[in-house]
Amino acid sequence: MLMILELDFSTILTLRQALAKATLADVKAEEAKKECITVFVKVQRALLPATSDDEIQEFVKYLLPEAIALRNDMTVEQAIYRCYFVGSSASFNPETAQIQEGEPMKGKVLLCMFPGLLRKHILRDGDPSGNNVPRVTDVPVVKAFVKLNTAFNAQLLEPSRVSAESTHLTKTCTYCRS
Amino acid sequence: MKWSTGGITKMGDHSSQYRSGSDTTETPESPDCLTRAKHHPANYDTEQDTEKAAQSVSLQDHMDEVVETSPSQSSLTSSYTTVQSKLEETQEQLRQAEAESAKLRLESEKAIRDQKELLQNNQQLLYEIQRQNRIVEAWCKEEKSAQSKYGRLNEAKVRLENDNERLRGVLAKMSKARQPLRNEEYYQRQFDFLNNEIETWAVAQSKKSKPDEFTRDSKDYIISVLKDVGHSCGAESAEYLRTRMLKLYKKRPIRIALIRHILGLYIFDKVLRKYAFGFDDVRSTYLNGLEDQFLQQGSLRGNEC
Repeated sequence: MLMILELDFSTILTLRQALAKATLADVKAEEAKKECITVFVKVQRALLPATSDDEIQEFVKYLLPEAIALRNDMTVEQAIYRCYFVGSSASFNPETAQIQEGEPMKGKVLLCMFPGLLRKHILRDGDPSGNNVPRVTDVPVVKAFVKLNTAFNAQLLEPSRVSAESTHLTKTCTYCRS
Repeated sequence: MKWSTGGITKMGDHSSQYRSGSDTTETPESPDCLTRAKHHPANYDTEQDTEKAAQSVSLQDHMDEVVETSPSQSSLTSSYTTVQSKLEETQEQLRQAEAESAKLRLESEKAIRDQKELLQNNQQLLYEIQRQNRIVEAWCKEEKSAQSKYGRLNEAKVRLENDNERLRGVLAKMSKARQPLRNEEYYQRQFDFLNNEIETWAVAQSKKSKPDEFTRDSKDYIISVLKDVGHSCGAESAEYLRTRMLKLYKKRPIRIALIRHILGLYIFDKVLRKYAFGFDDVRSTYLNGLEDQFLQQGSLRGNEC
């Protein structure tokens, strides 16, 4: 680590890139991909009971490789990219999150619908004495896509009573098709 | 050897006496003279004496005949000499034969000794050959082992050469990759693309979905998956949706948001959040921490980008 002190930022990024390339060559992606697809299909079976298995399989097998390719591209890039997700009930921050056009920009985050992307960066800020002080900062590349609670009727967002949800207890489980 | 030397000499002496007759100078007292006088015809007194005289004459004749037919002394001497020489020759031959025999015996003994020596040598050679055979067998085994080892080493060499080639390729790729590969717009586009795909899918599938088909079991399963999400957002989301999910699912606009949220969170947790796809949380956290340390250390030097 001491050696890194003597290196400039671009060299650090190059080192990181080489490290990422080396680690990427070591990863057993196929097994992870199979497992990921299996669980993803099950989740969608549960979430979309009316959708056929074939459709779900087709969608998952189309979407996941795209996401994996994007992740690997980011890994070997000569930059440090980080994805982030906004938690429910978090305050809306227009610097890191975005909402659909036309929706009111107030309220708290109800659901984060897609993660955001930021890039790690070193900036030099001026301090009171006039010297430039370098600091690590996050530059948003893609803002997370969120839905605020103000977009919906507040009544809908209230927690359900137990009796209301218990009406579905007798229904069969469809996500696992068993 | 029928004849002895003394016998021949005596007979010779008598025959010479008979042949010489009265010519010999004998004394009257000698026994021979007395015998001759007795057998002389003039001295026969009676018929008996006559007969005796005749017999005497006959005997004399016979003796003469014997004397005539007997070999002479010189002949005998010659024969004797011949025989003697033959005897000597034979003795000489005998001596020679004995000497030859002794020589042969010596040679035979020497040959036996040589044969024994050769036998010993032969046994030693046999032992040596057996020893050499054992050495050769050991060598053969060693050679086979060495050949096998050589084969293995050759395979390893080929494998290493291939690895070397592969590594050279990787190095070449790496050296090419040590530069910005894509600009930020590419990542923005890709993020938007994934987001839009999920949105389109959620909108389309939410139309088909009927809230009544979404069961509590389905909800529980989804909540359990969200809870397993390594990021804190998963747990937060699970906790928030635990009591609201069935209600939110009933209204289509919120259902769309819910579907997008769950799919987005899953992709975030399993793919995009990781350091590289396929890494577990421990490795991802470690490598992300390493990157953070790089940045921290780099920022201490005061570089500007």
